[in-house]
Amino acid sequence: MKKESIKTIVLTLLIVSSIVLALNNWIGEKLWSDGYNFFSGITKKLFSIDDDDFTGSGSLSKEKLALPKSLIINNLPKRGIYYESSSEYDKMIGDVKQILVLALSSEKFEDAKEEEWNKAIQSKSIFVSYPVLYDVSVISDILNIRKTNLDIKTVKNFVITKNTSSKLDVYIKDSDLSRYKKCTVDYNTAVFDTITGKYAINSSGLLPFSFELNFDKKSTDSEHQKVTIEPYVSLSITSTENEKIIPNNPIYNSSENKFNESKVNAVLRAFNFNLSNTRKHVEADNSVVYVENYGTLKIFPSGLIEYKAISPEKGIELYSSKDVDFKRTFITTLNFVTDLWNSVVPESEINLGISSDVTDKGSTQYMLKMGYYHNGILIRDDIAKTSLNDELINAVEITIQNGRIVKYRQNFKTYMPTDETIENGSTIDALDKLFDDSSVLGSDRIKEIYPAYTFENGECKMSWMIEGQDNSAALLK
Amino acid sequence: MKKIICMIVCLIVMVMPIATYAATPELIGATYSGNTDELFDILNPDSFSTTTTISTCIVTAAAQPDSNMAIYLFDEATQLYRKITTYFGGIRLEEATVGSSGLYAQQVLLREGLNKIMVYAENGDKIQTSPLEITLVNEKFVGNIKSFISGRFN
Repeated sequence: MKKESIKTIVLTLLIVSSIVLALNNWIGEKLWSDGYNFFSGITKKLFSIDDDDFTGSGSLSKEKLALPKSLIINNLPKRGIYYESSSEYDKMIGDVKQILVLALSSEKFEDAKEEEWNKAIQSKSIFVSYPVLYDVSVISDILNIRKTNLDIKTVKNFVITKNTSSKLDVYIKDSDLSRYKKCTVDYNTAVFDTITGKYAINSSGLLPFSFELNFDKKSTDSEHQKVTIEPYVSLSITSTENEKIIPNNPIYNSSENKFNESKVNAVLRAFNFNLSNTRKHVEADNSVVYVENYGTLKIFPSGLIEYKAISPEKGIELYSSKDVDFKRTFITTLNFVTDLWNSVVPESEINLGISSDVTDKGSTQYMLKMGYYHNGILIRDDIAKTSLNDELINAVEITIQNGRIVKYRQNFKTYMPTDETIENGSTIDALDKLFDDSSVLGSDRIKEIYPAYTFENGECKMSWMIEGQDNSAALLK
Repeated sequence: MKKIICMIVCLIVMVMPIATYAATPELIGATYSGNTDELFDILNPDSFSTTTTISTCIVTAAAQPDSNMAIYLFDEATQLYRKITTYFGGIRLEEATVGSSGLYAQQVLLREGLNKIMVYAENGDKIQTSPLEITLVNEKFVGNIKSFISGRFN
């Protein structure tokens, strides 16, 4: 009898353990070789596992997105501009982010006038500028703020200044309607004094805002004035020196004229292509086209990858809900880009940044554009149009429809700094170039003007990007 | 040998007026005014006489392309306007030729008190001058006046 019980217990244990191991094999994603897991998908659906948390890996984590493009420290007649990745920026950003969080969590916001905003910029202040327009709900989420009472839709710029009662005032510009809001924040003002005292080190005359030069308004008397520039565009009236960079294509080895197989396989896996039964053929330009039931993936020797779903319903599902939610779409798309990068180029840190506005226009279709950046400066490594591919001027372009990626294009490159420097002319030099060929921009009102790295026959150059009020853009090489 | 020296001297004599013609003069008389007002319009500062507490001012203008422009500061000792020189990245800048955008900008370092400035442009035989007066006051002085006024009227 005793023997029988032991047998029963051992058998039960064996059966239970075999079931557990089988389930592990079915559900554990890592045990499936080709990146596709039917059972894992079922688990997600059954237990409603969400994908809308930031993965936190690579540089598209929530922390990274919360970083402004630049901090302009004003303590006239001194001024300093610091871009993301500079050591000075790193020392200031912790405090600046805390002040922004306190501001957006503020109970009360007052209306402010444009003159107050201008005065704040010209007094002791910190001008905080994000690279693109953000919906307030998205930027609040990125900064981990549960709810904000700020009743404006989109933001890009903030100004932090000290008021007479030794507290900090934060001015926020409504980018849609050109309104201004103000709130008061209780934060250690000694930190603010230290930042403005220590980091405003250059002459403000070399780094003026457009409105300080009256470049923002058209003089009624002047017949010579051809162009106006938005008031808060930062200009440089002298030439600057920049670190030279060299591009590297991780997908294709041009000296051996062959693709890096492990990288190509990583791309295929990321797009749920089955390595063992995907059909492929080689095009005349040496690009390889992979065809599956629901989409095609083209990989070019230039580093360009192009995914296209056969129809919007067959695109890559970002999340399983039927309700399309803008914020969720944005976040899960960034997670996809991050995961793709980390699986293809795990040896290099992702240096992508968002370059198109993150604003909900109420459409079920949304296009997200991204660019590579080096020391806060945009890299424009354009891929020219050929008979087999369209032109690509952004590092990444993603079309999402109803929560699914229906088109994805990325120029896979990494950029390494060198010991050499290259000179970039002043903003006025750039505008002169623009008017040498006046047809390139459709508007005489400049919305943005900023430097960009470009390449000519692989050689790094400094150029200027100019965006007009009508959203036309010109790259002045 | 004499011939060669003569030729070099002749060449120098021939080139000098051209070079002088292209460059703006070093000094301008206090009462000098040009012969046109068609070459540029001052954008900043936006009036003839301004007061500031900031020790740098950027003079900006919208001008006719290809005009040579320079800024002069009045020298009390000589009673003449003297062309200002600024150094950017070790490069000496005295004047600039206006490009296709028509925009011109030049930084001026101000001295405390009244700064008499002359903006000068020339294009071919046309010369335009435009005087400016910028008074740099001490920030403490402005603060004292503000507190005096608010003490009187509040």
